[in-house]
Amino acid sequence: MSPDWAPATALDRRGFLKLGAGSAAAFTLLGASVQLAGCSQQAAPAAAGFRWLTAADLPFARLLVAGVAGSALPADPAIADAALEEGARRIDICLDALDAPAQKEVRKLFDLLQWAPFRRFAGGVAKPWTEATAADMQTLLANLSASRLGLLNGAFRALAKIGSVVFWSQPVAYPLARYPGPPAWAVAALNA
Amino acid sequence: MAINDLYTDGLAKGWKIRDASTLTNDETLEADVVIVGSGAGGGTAAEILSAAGLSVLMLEEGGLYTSRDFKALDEFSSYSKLYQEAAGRATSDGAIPILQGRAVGGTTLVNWTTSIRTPKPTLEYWARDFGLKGSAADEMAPWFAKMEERLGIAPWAAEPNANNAVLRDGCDKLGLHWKTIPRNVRGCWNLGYCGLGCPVNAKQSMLVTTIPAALDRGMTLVHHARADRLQFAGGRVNGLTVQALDADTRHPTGITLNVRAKHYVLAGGAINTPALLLRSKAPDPHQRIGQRTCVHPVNASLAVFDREIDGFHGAPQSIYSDHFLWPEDGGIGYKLEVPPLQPMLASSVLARYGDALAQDMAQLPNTNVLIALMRDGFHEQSAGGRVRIDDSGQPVFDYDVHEPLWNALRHAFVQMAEIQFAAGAKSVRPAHIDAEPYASMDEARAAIAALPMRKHRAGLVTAHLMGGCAMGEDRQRCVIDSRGRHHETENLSIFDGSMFPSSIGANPQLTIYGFVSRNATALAEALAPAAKAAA
Repeated sequence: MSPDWAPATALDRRGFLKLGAGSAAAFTLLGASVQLAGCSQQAAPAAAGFRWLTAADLPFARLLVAGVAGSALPADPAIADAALEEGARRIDICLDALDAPAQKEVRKLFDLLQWAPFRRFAGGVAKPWTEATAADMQTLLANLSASRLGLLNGAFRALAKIGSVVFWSQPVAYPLARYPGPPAWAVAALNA
Repeated sequence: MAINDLYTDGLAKGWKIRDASTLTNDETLEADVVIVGSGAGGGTAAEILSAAGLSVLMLEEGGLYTSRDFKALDEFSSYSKLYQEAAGRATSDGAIPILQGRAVGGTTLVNWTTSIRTPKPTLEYWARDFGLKGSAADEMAPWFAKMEERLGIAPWAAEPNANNAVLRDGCDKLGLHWKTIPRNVRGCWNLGYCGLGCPVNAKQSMLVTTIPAALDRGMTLVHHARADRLQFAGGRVNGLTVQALDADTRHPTGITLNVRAKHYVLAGGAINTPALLLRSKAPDPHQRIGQRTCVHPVNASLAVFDREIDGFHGAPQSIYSDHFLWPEDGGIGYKLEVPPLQPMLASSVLARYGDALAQDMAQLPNTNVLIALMRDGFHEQSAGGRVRIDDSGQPVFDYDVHEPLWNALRHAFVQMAEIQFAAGAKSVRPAHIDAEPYASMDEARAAIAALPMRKHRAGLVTAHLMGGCAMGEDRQRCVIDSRGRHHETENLSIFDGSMFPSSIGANPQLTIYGFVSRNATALAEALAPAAKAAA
């Protein structure tokens, strides 16, 4: 879908905020809007080599890892790319493992984030994710976190958590946490 | 150093273990007793029932992983394989992430080994309000003692790691109660990776204790096997359909196992057991199934020290404080403990991103975390949540947090900061989106008083699932009787965390072991009176 195209069913900023804090119906309602607008990836197949993420999800997933990693992302571009790719692979494993009810919610969230009106008005990001930077991702996270809507705070927590665990679980990140790994004597003994 | 792999040895001597993902034809399986689930409840029941001479079939939806699989001590590998929904399970609104095991051994495979008896006031509350019989502290004591002996449960004899020592030293300075935690370990290496599966078979989980004992007695274990529906008719269960899952344990292969047993034991935990009953349209005249599901909602406080804490190494939990568990005003109390701090788990509770997260993580070796576990389910305005099923029969868990619980959580933020500063913390930050690091207790107290206590802003988490099939003689309020037998169904028992009428006020495993040990012994006597006579 064209990033600048706003469907007739799009909710303007005011209409969006009227949904009310923590409204359990809000995701459903917004999800329905996205489906009406023909943007849902619900029926799309997983990207090649992935279990759950679609081709359209992948740029967002890589950028999420980069935005959450921030200055901890290795400076060497090849090492950084490998960490982002591995991060996306781990996001895929995590989301594929969710039960169906949680997967449905995540799918709604990912569709919303791909939907230009939501990305712009709730996320504050003008560019589509294929052109956005780690700084744009951080803008999105800041806006979701600062929102008065509990629902968006929940989206922030979900995104921050998955970005954190898929990056900080990688050995490439250990030195930045000054984490020595498991005790060397134990690893040696276990593998002797 | 060779670590004995019990399962390699066991298979060599004829243990009957089957991987349902490899099956190519539907089958009918028969047994005296089928046990759905292999955690604290299922494992304990399996040993007792098989020792009574009954033929036992145990089903587990997760995979079979043994000590050799845990040698890497790698967080991502373990969390994604050994936990429900790859450790991504949560309440329906996502506000409370849930750490719950999913493999042979259930949560006992990955818990942090804390083994504390049910508090006396909890047993009194269950007796008074739910008609739980024969379960006073002195009546339960022999069952706890038996399981403590069986699982090597004893107060941790080594020095606590520095993360736990913060709790001890802070409480000491302030004159607050603290105690050394009894752990279910034998020959523990004090590594600190209990949450990833024990690589040295030191943790006395069901994987290395009761399940091997039952396999020695001829039990059949089928893993990658998910209980789909029980068939109810004429006040009995007549069968159980089971779906074989693929190698990843995520999707059904299409192969069905039809199980016929004289007696059915459910031990899938407080989310999956109520969901199985609801999916199966179990008799439920008072609509109690899945109600009052409690979680000990947990909040956390992060402190930075100028000395090294290294909370990623050493026994993860060795000190607790019950100073605030039973407040004098009768309100909601909480237990204080600490979590392990390997980087993946630590990063997940920080709820930050980018440079701020990188700075937090750079301080990991100097960071201590305290957690407060709220005693939910004891008050009218804290009646737990509700497990229901969606259109396709999958569990969905709703949990609301009301004012009294928020007040207790705020109280805990203050007390945890007090303890951390008393132990020498340079700064303290509550795990809350709106909190900053505070350099003094005065600053922390003022800031915590102003924090908005709302879902998603205050960080919450749980690893304890309790309730949903309450146990007691009050049929209006309880699903099972005081011996775990279903009130409406003759040949059905529930032996897992879902049996509790409220939260416990202590880490659940020893309470599950004690009650299941007692209730499974009663069941064995009922089903195999000959075995009792022989004993």
